[in-house]
Amino acid sequence: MPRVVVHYAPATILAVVVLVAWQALVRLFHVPEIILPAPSQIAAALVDPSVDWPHHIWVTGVEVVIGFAVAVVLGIALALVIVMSAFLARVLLPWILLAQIAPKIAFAPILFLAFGYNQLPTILITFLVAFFPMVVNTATGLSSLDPRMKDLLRSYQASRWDVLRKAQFPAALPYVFTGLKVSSTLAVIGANVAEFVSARAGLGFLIINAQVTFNAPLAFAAAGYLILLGVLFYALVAILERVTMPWAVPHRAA
Amino acid sequence: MPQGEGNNASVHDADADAAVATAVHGAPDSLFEVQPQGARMKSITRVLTSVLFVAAFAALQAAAPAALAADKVTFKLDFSPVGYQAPFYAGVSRGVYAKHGLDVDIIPGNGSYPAVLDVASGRIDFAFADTSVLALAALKGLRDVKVVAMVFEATPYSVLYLKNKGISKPADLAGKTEANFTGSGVGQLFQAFARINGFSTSGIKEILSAPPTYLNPLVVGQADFAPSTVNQTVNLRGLAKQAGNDLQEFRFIDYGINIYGAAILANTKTIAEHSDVVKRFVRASLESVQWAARHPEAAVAELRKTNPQLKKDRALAELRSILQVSIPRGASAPDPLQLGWVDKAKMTRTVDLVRESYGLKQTVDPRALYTNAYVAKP
Repeated sequence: MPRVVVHYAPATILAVVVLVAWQALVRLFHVPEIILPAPSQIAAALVDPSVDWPHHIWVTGVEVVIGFAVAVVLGIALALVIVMSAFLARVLLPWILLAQIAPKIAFAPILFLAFGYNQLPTILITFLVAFFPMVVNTATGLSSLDPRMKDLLRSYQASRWDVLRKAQFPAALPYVFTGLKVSSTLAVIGANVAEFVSARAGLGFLIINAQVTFNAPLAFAAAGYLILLGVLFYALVAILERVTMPWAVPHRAA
Repeated sequence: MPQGEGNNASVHDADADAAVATAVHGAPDSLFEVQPQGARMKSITRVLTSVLFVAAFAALQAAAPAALAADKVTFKLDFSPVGYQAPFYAGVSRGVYAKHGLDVDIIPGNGSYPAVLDVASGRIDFAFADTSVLALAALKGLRDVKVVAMVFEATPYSVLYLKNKGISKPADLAGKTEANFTGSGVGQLFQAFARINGFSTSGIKEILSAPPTYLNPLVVGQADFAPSTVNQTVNLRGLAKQAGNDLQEFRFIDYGINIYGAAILANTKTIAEHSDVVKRFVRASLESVQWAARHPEAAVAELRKTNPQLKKDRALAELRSILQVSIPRGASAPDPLQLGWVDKAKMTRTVDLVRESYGLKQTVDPRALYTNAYVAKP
């Protein structure tokens, strides 16, 4: 058997078994569609031509990518500030923690009221949900350099910037990628949460609209595409990790 | 509208005029005036200022024709797109609003209360929201939002129940289990429904869950009844049947509650400063309501142009149930503006019922909650 078949066969068989059992149980026990639709109903909704799937996937995808990008850039920048200045760390850290713990879903309506019923608050909420792991992981990574290494570089007249660029950043990379992975999945959740509050389109909009109209197969299908979007996004980050630091990957769980 | 995110022709015109005045009078002064000695910095600043004014003027010139073409207004609905909102979506897609010089941006909502607050804050220009919710907000002190056109002259509120749970008249609801959500308007008005129909709510058990899916426990029979609206009955009857339940309803209007339903709202600032926009918005909206009442199938087809995910049959059944119960004169009114008329006695009843149901001490003058300036007396 080809290696690729051997590699993927067990996971595929498990998925098929789960789907068949799901279908059989729903049929056997006459589970109402509104509680749990059958996989066949969800599959039909996934390819329903009357739903403009490409548009909704695109809308949510754009929100996720922009929100995530802002989270990465600002997250890394904040981490740098925190690592470089103990004073700024003392001032900023409580706010960063506050922003992370504050229930975003409760504040989302206020953000829409303040910034308008468009995609800006959605992107802002996506950013707020996704940025914390970036800050914490990058800051931890930047601080992870062996102090003796730093002293050594200093003794060779390396500037602070040199140390950061040539030693601290490479040492931080595995942490940064851990942050990227966690943030990438959180960004999908963030966009979804925001769309629950207000949206004209998107997968989160579809889930709410399907709930309001009691169309459970559509809600499950939209959730399915959202999961797919998240997995794809995560996979892209994982591939980027492999490309960026091929030396690190074999020692870590992907 | 200036206070919202959109803009408005008259506002743009005023800005353009000011820019023209400054550009015409300011520019020659600073550019060609003979400068006193040693005033070089000042003159550079002036030149820069003039350049900015000219640029601003050019930008406004470019923007002005678009602003003149149509007034941009935002319109927030009560819920995520559903069948009975078809008149408004059709109003946009058929160009009814455009014909009245309006570029309407419809924003799906998540309940009447947020929509009322959006209008009060000025973030949104118009809302489609329940009159009883407006009355509640007013009783709690909100003063700046008014009905500018009624749409549902009768409330679509209804008590959905499962006949197979031994319920055949309202009094049978006593001691049963109710599906509800925290903050439900109709859930609160159910108190008045109980009093008027002579049964006590004290023994009723509640299953509370989040708004979009709070009716699910009823559908599957975990709850026996739920305060809701008539359009949900047609939505849920088939699903309840799948679970072996016979879903029926007690409509509020059939059981002694004759109050208003959803209306078009605007805030007092918009009414005072952009009366012409309100007038055109009300006319276009009510024209669309009448058209939809006369052509429900076509209206649902228009709705599905922007929301193709909605099931045609369900959306149509929903629209028809609302037309029958809440807009009974929709198709027949000789003038669509008559559909928007607010009757003082009925508005008073609406406010009183809300006061009673919520146990509020405060009062509000019902006349402060509406204006008939944009509609016609039937």
